[in-house]
Amino acid sequence: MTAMAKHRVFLTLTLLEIGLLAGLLAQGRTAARRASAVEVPARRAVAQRLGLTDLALWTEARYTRHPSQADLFSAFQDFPSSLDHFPAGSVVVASGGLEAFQNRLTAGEGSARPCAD
Amino acid sequence: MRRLKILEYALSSLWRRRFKNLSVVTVYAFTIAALGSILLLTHSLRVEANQILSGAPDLVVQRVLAGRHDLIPVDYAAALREIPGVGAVSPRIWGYHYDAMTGSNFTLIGIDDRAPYELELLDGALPTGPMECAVGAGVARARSTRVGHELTLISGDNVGVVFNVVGVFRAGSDILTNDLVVLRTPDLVEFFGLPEGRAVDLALEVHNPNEVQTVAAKVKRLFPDTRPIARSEILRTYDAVFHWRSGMLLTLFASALVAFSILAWDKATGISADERREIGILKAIGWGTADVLELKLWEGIAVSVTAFLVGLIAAWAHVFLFGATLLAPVIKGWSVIFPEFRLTPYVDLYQIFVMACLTVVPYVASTVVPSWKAAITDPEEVIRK
Amino acid sequence: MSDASTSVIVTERVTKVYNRGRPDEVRAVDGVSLSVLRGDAVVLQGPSGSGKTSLLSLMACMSRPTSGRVVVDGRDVARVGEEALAEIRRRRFGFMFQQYHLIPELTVLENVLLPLYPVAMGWSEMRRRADAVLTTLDMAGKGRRKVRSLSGGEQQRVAIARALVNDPEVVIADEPTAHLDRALARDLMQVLHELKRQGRTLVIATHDPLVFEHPLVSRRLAVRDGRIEGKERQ
Repeated sequence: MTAMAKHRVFLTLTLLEIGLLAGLLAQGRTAARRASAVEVPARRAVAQRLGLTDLALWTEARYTRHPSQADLFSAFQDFPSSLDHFPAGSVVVASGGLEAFQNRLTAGEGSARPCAD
Repeated sequence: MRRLKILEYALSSLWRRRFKNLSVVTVYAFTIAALGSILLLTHSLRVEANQILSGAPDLVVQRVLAGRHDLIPVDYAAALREIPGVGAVSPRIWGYHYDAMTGSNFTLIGIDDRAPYELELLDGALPTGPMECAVGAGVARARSTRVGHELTLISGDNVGVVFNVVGVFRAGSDILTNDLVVLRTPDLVEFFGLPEGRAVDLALEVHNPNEVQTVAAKVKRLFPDTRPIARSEILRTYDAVFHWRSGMLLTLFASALVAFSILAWDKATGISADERREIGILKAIGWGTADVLELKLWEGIAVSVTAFLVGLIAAWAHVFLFGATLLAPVIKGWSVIFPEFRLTPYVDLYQIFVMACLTVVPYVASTVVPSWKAAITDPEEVIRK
Repeated sequence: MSDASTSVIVTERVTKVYNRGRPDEVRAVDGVSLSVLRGDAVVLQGPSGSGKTSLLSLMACMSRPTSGRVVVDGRDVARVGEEALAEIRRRRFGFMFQQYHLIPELTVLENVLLPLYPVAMGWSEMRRRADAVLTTLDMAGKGRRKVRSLSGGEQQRVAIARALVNDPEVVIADEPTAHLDRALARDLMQVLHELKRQGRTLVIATHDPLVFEHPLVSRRLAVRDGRIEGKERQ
């Protein structure tokens, strides 16, 4: 039996794991910085030029493709009691903030200040 | 020295029951990997969405008819331009096209003639002439086309319309452009057969970001049948979609957490007769209560720290090196065209810390606490039982 | 009246009751007063169930009395904190259990080293002590063997080695010959005799005549129903 072998192995392995994780986090930070400097502006430029409002993720239905543009009824508009049958519908959540925004507009709230003419 | 010796004994103890303990570490690490993958993926997507969609229009005005999204008269633009604070008002033509050949949905958008015509993430150029188009990488792949080749789309009249592909978006922009077919607006209007004087919606430029709410309220007052959508709402939508506390991701997260709780509960409900006897023997030969509890603490820490680190590294690799391939089918749903995740490693350390507290602490507690009673009892009584 | 300065263990009307207040209440030790002097070899003689094991546990600080006092090296163990009590168990006593209570999945060496883990001592010193004690018991070559693969007599020796590795002043043995044949029992008595010659104090509980008739024994106490009976036999 090697003297105190197991605790050395364990501590070494743990340190290696922590080191690896720290390395990944550091590399991630560098990659994120690079992305923010190069890739993100390029993508933003595409969104701006094409006037895009949504990410091209869920292409199965209109309200999953453009969740920010969909109204609250899109998921059920096939007929009144139709259920939301697209799997991505359970991933894409109706934006609660959108509803609140619309309610505020309907209620006539906006800015308390009179519009600057 | 004493601490290291007790750690040594703890590890020996774990190794003695190695099959059981290795299974625990594996399940635990797997749970952490699942939880970690969800947290890393959603956070990264959320940051990306926030960054990219900050290029979206300030305000988009839709028209609503019978509770549904209807075409908007282009005439509305003139009145909207008069609202103080509003700059350019651009009618937008865009829509969906179901491609029967591949069973996928494309998003068709029309663009005007203004510059820029080339983009960094575009191989080739944007359409400037009639019957030209630029397509996303997903479309190019699905329809096996490229720059210089053609793309035929079947119109509503069941007629095949041929477009010349002048640009293909690069993979780096997949998350925005994967299913896009970009056409000149007149070509798109004709393809869709849209009536004259109508647009899908209007994009408003608002000079002062703080005035967007005010402008939106004015738009609504001016045209009660419209629905203005601010960019902040667009961003908030994606915040909600990619929040780990919502939707299917919450279900995944909760299931993983439940699996983990079962594991911890199984440990916490008591120690075996063998373990109790061993504690009694240790105490009888001179180990103190603190020594025994420290032993159990090290056993818990060894398992949970190892599982946590391994699980987290696996989650990282899964999300940022392998594009979350295991989670993608869950998130993808029925989408035929779905972009490959090429995510930037944005990490929220606070989330990682919370996950560590929610898993490591309960697990260590579930190892130490059941041994407490045996550890504080007189050794003779423990052995007698 | 024994001289307190040479008494290692003193019990004063010590009582141990198990399952107190319940229908199965047992008065295992009932008002026992005795003192063990340094260098003594005391035998507690009595049948099974007479309270010998419980009395040994009290003396070795492995359980606390229900009433009465146990004084070890002049300190009342009821007044001593748990950590200090563990240290007394560790430093002062080497306990040999009737069932040995070895950990079967560990090797001989690992079992013998167990009492040394919580002690501030380096690994090489631990090995040195364990090897030394195993050598004196003719178990030196068997360090790597798992305890469950050993014979009864060998396991007994491992139990003794574990009890001795901390170099205790007092060795307490509970029915040490219970699982041994006569030959092995005689070997064991030789080992115990040697311990006494080294100046250690022995307290042995037994109902085996081979033990209580042995010349090493300096005092014999009869135990019945939790009490010391009659006068001591010398």
